[in-house]
Amino acid sequence: MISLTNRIKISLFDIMIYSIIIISIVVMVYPLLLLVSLSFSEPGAVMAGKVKLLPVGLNIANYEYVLKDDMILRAYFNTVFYSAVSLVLTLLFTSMAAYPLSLDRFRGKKLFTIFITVPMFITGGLIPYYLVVQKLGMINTVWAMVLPCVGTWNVIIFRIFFKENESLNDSAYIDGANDWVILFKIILPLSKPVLATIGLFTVVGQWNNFFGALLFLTDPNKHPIQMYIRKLLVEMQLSAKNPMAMGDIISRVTTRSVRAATIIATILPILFAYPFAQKYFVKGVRIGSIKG
Amino acid sequence: MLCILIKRLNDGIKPLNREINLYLMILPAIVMYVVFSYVPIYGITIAFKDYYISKGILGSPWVGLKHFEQLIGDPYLLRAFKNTVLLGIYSLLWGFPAPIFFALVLNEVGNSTFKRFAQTTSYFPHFISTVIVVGMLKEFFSLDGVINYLISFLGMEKINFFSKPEWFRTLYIGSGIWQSVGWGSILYLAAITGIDTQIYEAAVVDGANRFQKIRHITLPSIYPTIRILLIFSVSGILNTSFEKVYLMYSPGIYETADVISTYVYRHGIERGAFSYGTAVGLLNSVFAFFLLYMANFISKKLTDTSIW
Repeated sequence: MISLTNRIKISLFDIMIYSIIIISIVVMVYPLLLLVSLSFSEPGAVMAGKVKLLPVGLNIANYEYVLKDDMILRAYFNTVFYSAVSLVLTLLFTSMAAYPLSLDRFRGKKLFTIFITVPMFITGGLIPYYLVVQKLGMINTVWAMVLPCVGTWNVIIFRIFFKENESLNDSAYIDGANDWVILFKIILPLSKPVLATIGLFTVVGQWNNFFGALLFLTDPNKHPIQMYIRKLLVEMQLSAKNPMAMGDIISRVTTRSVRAATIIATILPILFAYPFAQKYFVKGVRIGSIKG
Repeated sequence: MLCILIKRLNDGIKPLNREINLYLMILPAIVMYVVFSYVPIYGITIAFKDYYISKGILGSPWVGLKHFEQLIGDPYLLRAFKNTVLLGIYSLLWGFPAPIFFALVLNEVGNSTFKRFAQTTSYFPHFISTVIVVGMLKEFFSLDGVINYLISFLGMEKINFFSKPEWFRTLYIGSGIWQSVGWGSILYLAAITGIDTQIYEAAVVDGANRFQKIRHITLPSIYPTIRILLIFSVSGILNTSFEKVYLMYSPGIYETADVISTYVYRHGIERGAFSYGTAVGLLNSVFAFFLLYMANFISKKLTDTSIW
């Protein structure tokens, strides 16, 4: 007899589950697809609201605009610059702070741990913070954006990781190596996963930073790309810095489509880094959640 | 003899020298904390003074509770407070269960490639900046956008979403869920994978179907995680995302959209009423801390999970 149980049973439950998941995938992905389509569509179709999923016509003028507009290019440069500086400063100072805190022999360990934990609960608020930055003369400088780079969560994550390698640095210490050497030549090379995770979070955070720029950067030339996109949102009008050089591109774009193109161009680097970084992110969150 | 003495001295100083390195390492971080965290905490005193930039914090005169009295009588502040609380509560109501639900559903997906694909696409929105999310919102919900296209296709009248106060909360919370459901589910999924499979096997023997397995095994196993996150979420009710509200609002919809953080920004920073703004901020922090304390206290009493 042929057994009927060889057939695959698809239960109602499965159908429900898969439907929900499919809906979720669509909802997550569709907005992105739509933006891509908008950025490649003919201006007329965009204005008339004809673009619903796929591009209407093929029009690369929006991306030409993005590549030619000085303001946009300047904003991208600023964003990359701020992200790079943030990355270096954060990884450097956070690891330097976490290392002593991971050592039992460090006599200041308890004091400093409390010292950096208190601000997690008590904060001075926005305005006193702003006033401090102002008093330090950092308004409208890159420092206001990148200098406050040591966050307690990050220090804790680094510290946990460093602690796992404690035996290594203990033996190096006994052999006479000084702590700088231990940190930079032994511990950090072993800490690539943590560096990658925190590093990526830092870069993404700075890449997406809008509030800092809004508060502290008054000169439009210093604005990162998020500020530029926001300007597009608010003004709904394109104001190219060098309209002459733009030539006829202007006639082939609309504010909405340029906005879509700029958004896509801004998300793109994150999209690329994303698959590589993914495993690190999830691992980092797990470490943070279990130990935190 | 001298040689031995010098050697002894060197041995004594060496550990100290070596320890100095550690202090030097942590120094930049400590300086940053002092400057960016502790000094602003001291700066809270501005709330009790009339702050003049020229006089600095120390030089500005004390005025006691003047700003707080002003606060109480301010109807716009009251409105902002109401909006903040409502936004927070609705966010919690819809936004808290969403990642849990999503994690439970995702966990039931058999095909692992499909599961991973679904997971990856779900965390992607978390990495998009607030500006871009609002940009998307404004694009899709504009009068010529896809949503209105759908609406008119179904025969109804187009809606100008961003100028109607009644739509603000829905848009804010909806986009918030879109951004955070995937990322938020990671924690729950991690907890779920820790559940002993033997319990499931025993349940199957007892005749449990998939629904029952979720209800009686999976869900209860993640209750501790849920509780802790709930405490944090409840205490975070007063934390609205300044960026998102700021980008989404306009004077026409202040009646639902103006929240404490945007109110402080407008008055404190844009209009330069530093002392007043600090007073508002201080009150907000105190309430938030009180919420955290209460949430933790209640949780400790009802169960034994708590943060401290």
